[in-house]
Amino acid sequence: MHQLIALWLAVGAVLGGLSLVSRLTTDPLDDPNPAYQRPGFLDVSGPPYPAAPLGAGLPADGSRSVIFFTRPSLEASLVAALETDPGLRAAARLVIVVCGRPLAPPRAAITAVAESPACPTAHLDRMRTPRDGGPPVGYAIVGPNGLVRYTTLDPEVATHLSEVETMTRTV
Amino acid sequence: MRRRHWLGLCAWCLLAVVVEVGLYLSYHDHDAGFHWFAHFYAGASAALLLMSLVSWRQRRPVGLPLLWVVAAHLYAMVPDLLFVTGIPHQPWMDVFLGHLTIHYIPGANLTLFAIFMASFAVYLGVISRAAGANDDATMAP
Repeated sequence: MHQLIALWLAVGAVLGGLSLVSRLTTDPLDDPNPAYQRPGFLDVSGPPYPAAPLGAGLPADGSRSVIFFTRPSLEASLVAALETDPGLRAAARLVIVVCGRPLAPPRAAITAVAESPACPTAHLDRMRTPRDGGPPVGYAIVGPNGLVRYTTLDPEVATHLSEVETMTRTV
Repeated sequence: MRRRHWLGLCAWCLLAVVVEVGLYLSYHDHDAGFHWFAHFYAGASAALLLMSLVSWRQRRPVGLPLLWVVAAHLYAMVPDLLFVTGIPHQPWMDVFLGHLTIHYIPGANLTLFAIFMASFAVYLGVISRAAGANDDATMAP
């Protein structure tokens, strides 16, 4: 009996410790509630709602849009990743909202919009605030009817574009 | 003979650990821990309760218990495996041990950890009683 109790305590200590370590090693750009980061299904926060207008006909009527929110230091890697992903470019109109001063120049086929660090569009699109309290790094997917169907923070979105495409093709 | 038995058992333990490490790495991001733990606790809890039932009926522990846990974890992860093939999560996927809903229960992974520990205690209690019953049967005149 004592051996079983010791086993129970040992398993609890190991798994509890690993859970704690995992919880402490999150990124400052992560969502404070990980359940809302990359949930993988639509309308996680409730019914769809209209996307904030970005000017110049964006988000585009009748076609899907993906609005990426990023910070100046991460813009170049995001643009580089998007330029090498024809699948996602074919699936939706791509917009990058840079919350702060953009470093990289705008590229063809990918619309870039500069905003202040407060990033008002992110608030209108109901993007969640990362752990560090700064502007979001993630994306919102807007359906052909102009309604936001999916939002998530994702600091490593440049390496998850296939995931973005999977979600985009469902709206 | 006893040493060979333990070597065989440890081989299965090692295989289970390797598979679980592989599953953890399959999420390959810093938010992997949250998802891996959630589905591991859900799968392992279900496996332990099922193992408790089987052990109670058979009056002896189940064979290769860690493989039951791994199998249940894989079952709980099915929607994530489907996602890799381009199928997003949908509400009906809660049939895979509450794959979507468990992330939003109060307390999240802490609650799931508590459920896992309770399920583990149930299983250990059942096999302890089974062992006691077998000892009594062996000692009976």
